[in-house]
Amino acid sequence: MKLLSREPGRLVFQLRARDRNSLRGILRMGSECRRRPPRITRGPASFMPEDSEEMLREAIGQQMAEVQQGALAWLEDPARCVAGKGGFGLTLSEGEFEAFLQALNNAKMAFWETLGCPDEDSAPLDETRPEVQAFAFALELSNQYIAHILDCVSGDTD
Amino acid sequence: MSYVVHVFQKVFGWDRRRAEKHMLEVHEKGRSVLVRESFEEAEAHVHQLQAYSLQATVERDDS
Repeated sequence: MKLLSREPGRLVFQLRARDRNSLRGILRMGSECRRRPPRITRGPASFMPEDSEEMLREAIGQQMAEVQQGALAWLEDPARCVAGKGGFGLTLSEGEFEAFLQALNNAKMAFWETLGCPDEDSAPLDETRPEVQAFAFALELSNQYIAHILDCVSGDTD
Repeated sequence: MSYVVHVFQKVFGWDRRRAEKHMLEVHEKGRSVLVRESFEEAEAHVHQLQAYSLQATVERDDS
C-alpha cells in the first residue's frame, strides 16, 4: 500500500489486492468483536453529571460503529476503490482518511480487548489456541497498517 | 501508539516530539494532562478527542 497522490483535501492510495483483502478482513473482524466505547472516567473534579456520561458513551459507541461501516463500504465501493493495473486506487477526502484510520484503530483496540488487554507485564498469550492466534495476528496486522499508512502520509516511506 | 500521536498532532497542532511525550505519559502512567485552558476550550478538545475514540475528561485545576 502506498500514497499515490495528495492534493488539498484529497488523498489517493494504491492498494495491492492483498492489502484490500487484509484491510477488509481487519474491519469485518473488528466489527464482529466491536470495541467497547471508551470509559468516561470521572475524575475527582469532573464537571459532567453521571447520566450524561452514559449518554455520551452510547453516542460514541454509535459513532464508532458508523465509522467502521463507512470504512468498509469505501473499500467495497468499486467507484471509490477502483480496480486497475496492479491493484486498486482508493480515493479519500482528508476527513474520510481520518475516519479510515479511526476505524482501523477501533478494530485494533477491539482485538486487544478481546485478547484481555495484554501489555508488557502480561503472561504470554496462549497462541496454540486458534482464536487467540487469529486475534493476535489481526492485532499485529492492524497495528502495522496504521503505522504504515501514517508513515506514507508523513513521507517517511513510499 | 502512532495513532494516538497522530490524533494529538491533529487536535492540538503539536509537533511530533510533544505529541510523543504525552503519548508515552499516557502509556506509562495511564493518563496525561494535555492542556490547561478555559472550561469551554477544554470541553471542545475533549469532544474532538472523543470523536477520535480517545478517552479524555475535563477536570478543574485547583493547583
